Amino acid sequence: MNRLCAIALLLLGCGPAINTTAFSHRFPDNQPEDLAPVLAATRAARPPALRNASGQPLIVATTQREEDHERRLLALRPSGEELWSVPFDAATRPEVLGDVIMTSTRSEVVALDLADGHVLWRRDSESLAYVGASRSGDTILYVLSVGAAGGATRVGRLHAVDARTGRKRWGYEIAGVLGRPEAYGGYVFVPWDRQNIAILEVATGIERARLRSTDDVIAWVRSHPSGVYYGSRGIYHFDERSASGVKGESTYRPPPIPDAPRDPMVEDDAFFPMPGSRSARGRIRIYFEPEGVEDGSIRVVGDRFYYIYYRYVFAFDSSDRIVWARMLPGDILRADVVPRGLVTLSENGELRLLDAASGGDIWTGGHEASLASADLDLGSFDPGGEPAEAAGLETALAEIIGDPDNRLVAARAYAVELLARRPNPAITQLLLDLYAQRAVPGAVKEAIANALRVRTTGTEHLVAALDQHYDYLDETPVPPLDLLVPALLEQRKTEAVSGLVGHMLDHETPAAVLPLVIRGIVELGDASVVPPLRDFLVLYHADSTFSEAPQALAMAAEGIYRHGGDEGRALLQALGAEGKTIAPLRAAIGGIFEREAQEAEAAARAEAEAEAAAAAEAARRAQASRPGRLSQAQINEVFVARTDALRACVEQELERNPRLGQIRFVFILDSQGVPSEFRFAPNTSEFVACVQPIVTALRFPPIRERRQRATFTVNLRARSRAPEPSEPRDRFWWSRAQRRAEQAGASEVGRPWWEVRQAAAPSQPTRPPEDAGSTEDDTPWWMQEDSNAGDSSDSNAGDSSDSSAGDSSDSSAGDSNASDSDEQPWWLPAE
Amino acid sequence: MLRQVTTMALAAALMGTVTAAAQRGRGRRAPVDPEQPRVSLRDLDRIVPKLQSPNPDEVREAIDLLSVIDRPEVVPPLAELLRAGQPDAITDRALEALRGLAAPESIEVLTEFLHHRRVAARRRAYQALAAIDDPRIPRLLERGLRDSDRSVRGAAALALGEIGARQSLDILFRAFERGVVEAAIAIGKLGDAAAIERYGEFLGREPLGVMLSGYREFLGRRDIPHDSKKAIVERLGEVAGVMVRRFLGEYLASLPERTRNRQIRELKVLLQETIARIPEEATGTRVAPATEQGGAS
Repeated sequence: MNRLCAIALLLLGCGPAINTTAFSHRFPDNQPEDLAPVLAATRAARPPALRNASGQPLIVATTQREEDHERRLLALRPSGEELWSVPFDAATRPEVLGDVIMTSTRSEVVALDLADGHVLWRRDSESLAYVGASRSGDTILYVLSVGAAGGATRVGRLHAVDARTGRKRWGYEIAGVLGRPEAYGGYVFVPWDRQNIAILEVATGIERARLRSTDDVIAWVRSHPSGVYYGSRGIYHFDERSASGVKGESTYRPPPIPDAPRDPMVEDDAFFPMPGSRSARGRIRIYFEPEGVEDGSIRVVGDRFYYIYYRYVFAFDSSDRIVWARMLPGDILRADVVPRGLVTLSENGELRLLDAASGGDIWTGGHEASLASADLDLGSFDPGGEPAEAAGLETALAEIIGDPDNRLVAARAYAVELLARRPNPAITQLLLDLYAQRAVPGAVKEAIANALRVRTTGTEHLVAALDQHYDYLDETPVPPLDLLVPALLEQRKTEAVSGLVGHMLDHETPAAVLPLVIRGIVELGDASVVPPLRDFLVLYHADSTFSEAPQALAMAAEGIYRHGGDEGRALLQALGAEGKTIAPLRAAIGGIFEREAQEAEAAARAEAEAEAAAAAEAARRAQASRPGRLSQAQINEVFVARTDALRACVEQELERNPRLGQIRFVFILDSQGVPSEFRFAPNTSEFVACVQPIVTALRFPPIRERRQRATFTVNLRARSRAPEPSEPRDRFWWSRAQRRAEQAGASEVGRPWWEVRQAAAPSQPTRPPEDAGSTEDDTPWWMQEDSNAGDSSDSNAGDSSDSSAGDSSDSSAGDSNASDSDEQPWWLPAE
Repeated sequence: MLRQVTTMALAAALMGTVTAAAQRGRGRRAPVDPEQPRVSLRDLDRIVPKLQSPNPDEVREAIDLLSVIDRPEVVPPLAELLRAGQPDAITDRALEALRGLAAPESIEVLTEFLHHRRVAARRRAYQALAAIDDPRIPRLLERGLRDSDRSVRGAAALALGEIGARQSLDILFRAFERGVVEAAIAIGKLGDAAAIERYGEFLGREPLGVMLSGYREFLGRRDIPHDSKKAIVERLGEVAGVMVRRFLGEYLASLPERTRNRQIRELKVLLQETIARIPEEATGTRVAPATEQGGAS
């Protein structure tokens, strides 16, 4: 309804009220051309060093409510001079904006005159939280918002009003959260929804540009004389690169002091009101003063980031190296970076200027009062003077660690980390001393323990600390063995063994830490620790001391087992077998040997598995190295080795059958090269009986394939059939096949099949070409002097084998020999 | 108040054990019990193997037999038994046996047991050492004053008093300062006139019952000058109170009724006058039962 009214009013020309020309979700963000005029204006801006109209450093503060004292708002000079003081119950921290002080009560936004503190105007805060204001010329821009912390209601209102009268000039309401605005160069930068910055022209209230971060949160915008900065934990400089909308392409400084506890902000979160009464908010913060950008990097005044944790101040350089630390008497309410260092205002009104280089006090002042909140407008405040000598960094950190204020444990633990990073060996002893203090809380002790574990200097102090033993009269406590032993173990300090043995044998060593001590002996020691471990174990093995918590004895047994060799094993076995040995120790010793057995078993299993794997690998390799199938030459080679035996059988068969022209064996080879399933041609019983024992005993090379069909053929009479020149070569295989079929059909009836097949088969005799003419020679080829049995069988066996066997589907090795023929087998397609 | 009660009860208990040991005589063997079995050194070879028996009863019997032999030669087997690690009951019995033997040969093994993790074993070791007449003993007993366990500290303090270790007076005062109440008795047994004055500085700081236990020792000694005793009586007269009245009354009663010793007579007169000045009834001050019985006796 409000929007409708606003639109109606605008249409009617009733002047600016609620505007709709900003914060639209359709407004383009990160547009360089939109940002350009804004950048030009901000670069041209020359803001004064001080925000207040008096031209002098000024502090505006609220006081704490105390008995018989109402809360007040007061304006001070740094010297402590009170300019004025008025009763005022501020709900939020006052802000100095020129000649006006802006703050709020529970229900109103209030502007007071800087000159005397009287109220200039009040405006209803509309049940929203006042989160802050900024000023541009005579316009004050303030934001009311709710919902930043979550919840269903998210409302943000931006109002532009006359600074002195509060008369409204323009305003916006959005269904989102707005943060404290920042006016600069005629524009107001309004963070909203923690991701955007709407940049509005102050004069018109029209949004001119928008920034949106796509990979970060925007929690604040602040202007400094060197420009506009924004960010969350990290710091962005507002420039042309801001249009990228991403960290990597913006002028960006990652969060300083990244390991500081409680994730401190570098500015107050703009989306939350800063309380006007005492609160933890803002007590943990990083302060810095940007002084521009150089080589793409944001530079800060004095090269310092100041991390404040209540009353501790840690100063770091821009490389996040600590430079100094201070513990101030009171909690710091507010601080401000000035060229010479850091000005701190404590809750008791004390103002200090700490030297940027050393942390020493350059100046102290202030106004004795119990302050609740304050705004410092100090500009380049410099009261002069030289810094007082400050305690060294290590001393200051030690002082912070030893501070009894247990509210600040996290910072004290952080001081431990900072101190432990220093290489000074004496720090190790210092940390040990701090650890021994009873008042040091557990978190700090834990930090010390962690720090000592990784310290590499001064470790001799860890060893030396073992020399201390409990003494009631001297009030000497047991050294912090729970701290020392892990650190000694971490750093493998073998020289600590004797000290640890001393504590093992000392009855004053607490039972709770004794297993750790013995573990240290076992881990760091060698065979030399066996005698004391043995004495310890033997002395207590039947005693009730460790019957409830036998870990120490178990660890001693472990040490003896590990370092004691056979003698140690024998001792353990004897103790384990003794009836008087306490049951838990017996169980522990049993466990050691059980573990040993399991380990041996596992080792044996692993060895067997390794052997099996090796054998499998060897087999795999052997398998891989085998041929897939044997070539005819390889098959022939095996037969040739038994030529003499076969010849006898063949000669006998020739005697029985002088016309025998060929013998042929067809068989199956398995993967191991064992032949089987022989078929013989001729298959006369005499011949078969003769050759079968010979050929079944043959062993061929293994093959990869599971089985291979193989043949071996011997042409007993060499034949030659020179191609007739006039005979036309059939172009196609089927032509050749038909011709051969005709020839086969014309063959003489009653001739052996192999002769018929031989005639039909195109295989060539293997005789050398020069013998081609002696076709009628009846002498078997192997009996001819110049014959070569291997070659002969090799060259033609396969060709004929398949045909003779009648198994045309087989593609045995011999098939490849067909290409040697001057005529292709009839069953094969022509080339 | 609770602390006072506890300390006094503890002191009384410890007093009993140490006094019993002392009654047997430091450096002297225990008297032979006619009921005990008759064994001698010749039986050693027969008895010692029984120490290795898995039967605890047999081991205990062997320890007892070795105690009866009552010769330094039985120390090594007992020491070996102790070092071999035994159940609590066997360890304690062996330590008691060594205490009875009171042989300097057992100092080494007893010293080892001063660091035993079981309090009872440590305490027995100190008591056994206290029974030995050897110049090394006071220094060893002083270690007990540094122990974290109050009963061990108490036993050590009492033992130092029993053996007359005057060189340990300073450390006994330190122990007393640190709250070892049993040191009061030891100081009372060992201190000289100067120590009485030093001891008196604790009056008002330490429980009255504890202080009276030390004064009782001072007053009971013949080597303390009567003037010093008078000074004690006068000092206690200043403190007054029912407990002091009763304490002085008991002391008066312990003095001979008739004596020619003028100093004793003067002391009795002083006692009577002092007692007469102290009201009979308590004036609203509640006194713990343990201290009502006469302090740390």
